[in-house]
Amino acid sequence: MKRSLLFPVLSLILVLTAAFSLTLGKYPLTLDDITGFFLLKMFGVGDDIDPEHFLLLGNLLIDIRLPRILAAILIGASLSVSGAAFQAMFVNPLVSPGLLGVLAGASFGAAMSMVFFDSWFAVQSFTFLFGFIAVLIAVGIARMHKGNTILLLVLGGVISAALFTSLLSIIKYIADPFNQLPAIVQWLMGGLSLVDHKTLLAAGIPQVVSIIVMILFSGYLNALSMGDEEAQALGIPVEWIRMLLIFVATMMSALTVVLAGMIGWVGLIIPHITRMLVGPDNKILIPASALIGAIYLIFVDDISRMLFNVEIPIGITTSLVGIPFFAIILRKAKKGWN
Amino acid sequence: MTFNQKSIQIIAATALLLLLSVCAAAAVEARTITDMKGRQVSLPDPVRKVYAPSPYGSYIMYSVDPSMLAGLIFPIKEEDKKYFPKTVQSLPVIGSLFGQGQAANIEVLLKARPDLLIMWATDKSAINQKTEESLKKLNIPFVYAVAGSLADYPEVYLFLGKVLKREKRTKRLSLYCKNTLEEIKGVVNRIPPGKRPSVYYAEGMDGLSTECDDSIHVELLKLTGDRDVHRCHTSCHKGFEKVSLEQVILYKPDVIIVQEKVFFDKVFKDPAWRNVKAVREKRVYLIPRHPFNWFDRPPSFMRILGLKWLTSILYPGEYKIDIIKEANNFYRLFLGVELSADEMRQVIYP
Repeated sequence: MKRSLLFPVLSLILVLTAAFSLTLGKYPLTLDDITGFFLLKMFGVGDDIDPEHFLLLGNLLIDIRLPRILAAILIGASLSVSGAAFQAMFVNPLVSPGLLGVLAGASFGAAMSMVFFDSWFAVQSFTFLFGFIAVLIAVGIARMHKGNTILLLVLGGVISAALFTSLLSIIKYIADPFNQLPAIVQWLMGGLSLVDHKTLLAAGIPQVVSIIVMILFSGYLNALSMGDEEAQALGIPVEWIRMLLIFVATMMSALTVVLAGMIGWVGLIIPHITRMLVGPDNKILIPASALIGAIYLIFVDDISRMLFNVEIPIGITTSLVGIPFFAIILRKAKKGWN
Repeated sequence: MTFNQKSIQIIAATALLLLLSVCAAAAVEARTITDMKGRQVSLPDPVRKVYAPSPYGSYIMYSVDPSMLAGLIFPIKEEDKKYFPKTVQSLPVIGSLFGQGQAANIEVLLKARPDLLIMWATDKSAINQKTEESLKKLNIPFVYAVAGSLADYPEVYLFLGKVLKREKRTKRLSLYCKNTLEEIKGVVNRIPPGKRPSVYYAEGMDGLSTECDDSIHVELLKLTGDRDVHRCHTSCHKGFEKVSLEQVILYKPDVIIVQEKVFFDKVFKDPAWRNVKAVREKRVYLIPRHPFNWFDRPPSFMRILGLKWLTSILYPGEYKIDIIKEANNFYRLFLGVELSADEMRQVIYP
């Protein structure tokens, strides 16, 4: 695909996927209903919809389906971008957004507050807070020793993630097994059904800003991916840039947990798929990952919603769909890996 | 020579010990009872301390005689302490034996020295080999109480009364359960199936988990008109089936009963829910849950009161009761606590 066409084409696919997903749902709506609704809503033309039906349509499309699709876009883009950034920053293709413990910390925060508090706002706040605390611990451990920073950060991340995973297990263990435990387990499997307008707005703005910051800094990622010494030789303040990017990536990932619980796999696999399609240049890879990640998560959420009468947690579908998808792309890959 | 003397001493000491232990065993007389699985169990007499290593068993013991408990299955929450006598609050937390929550440390259980274990089963015939074997190792006699459905509770109470020699009390409890079950059956039977309201049971923080209509978790819905909107077969005990909001809109439930306060607080504010019939008609109810849930999770003896509560919600015209008064009676009889009308209002409408 020509470079100049890449982003217009991907954006078009994203818009089409999102529009198509609006038509999907367990409540049967005809295409006429939907086009009629939007024509009336946006341009005020065509007034043959009876007011009560119009309200129901608005409820289904604007209150129920649209927030989910927007959340899927935000989450897919955030996880993919932070995954791609981490893979470049740590010069390691096996790295995913959870490397520094943000997902483990956020999950712990969510589970802990589900057990001890009765308010959803508390759950969301603690989810976000503990995502950051986990990463702070990882960075703190890395700082304790002078040496290979990348290796120490990875080690710190492993320790921090292990710490919060065990704390999470304690919470699961003391949770009321009849009520709280199933709620926690379900939350950890991820799902977009909890998304509402308010949270979407509160989480969406910092997420979009973070993605833009990441795209603006993608040139530095190219330098970092050559290793610290080379990057320093180019006159880049490696430590500062790295800390800034870790902060931004943590912000994005923690907010995905606030919105939809644990959604694994996207942050690992989408950057790889994107890399196979567009090559390793982060200036292109990062924005392309954002678009492909968004498309992928909308698609996967559609499957979650539509396949059965009950919803499949999206954490399960992302991996089940992702694996064959990955295999196909791997076979067809022409571009180099690094 | 010294060797011989020593061995005689050892033999004599052993014999003495044996004799003593026989005497000790004889001091606690035994009586034999048939448990609800038909096993012959010889019980120590009297039974002073019991432990029920499952939530169901422990919960029902709170209503039979909490002072007989050797330990708790879960720690009692701070806000629920007022519903329990001081002696119960200070009991050690032992935990449960086979799954379901915090696993018991066997040595803590042995240290608490219960005379008898009360096991809970939902099926008379099924015998779990593994469970039985590990129970035998504990060397504490155990009896099975079996309740497959709420209709078995009167019998369970009578059985526990016999085992624990609390017949007088459990007869009253048993009768209360039986009368309630019959009373509600009468009310529901008078209403033609077409006029019974349909119900959606909202679980989880998002209110989008529910139960299939044949699940034990929604037995009360079965008993109060069998109009659970989510018709399917439960594949596992855990339940918690995820549904989509669009599905709920399609179900057009007349009434929603809600498990989580978090969800209850937002259901009328969240525009996404405004097209659900029950929300539009303001027929959404939060399930009372202190100190134990009235409806489910766990499905306990509290459901007897839950049955009255739910019937009064579903059929306000046909079943007119003062739920505050009824609930206070129930708490007095089953839990031995006296609440003022205001306190009870706080339990029902937090």
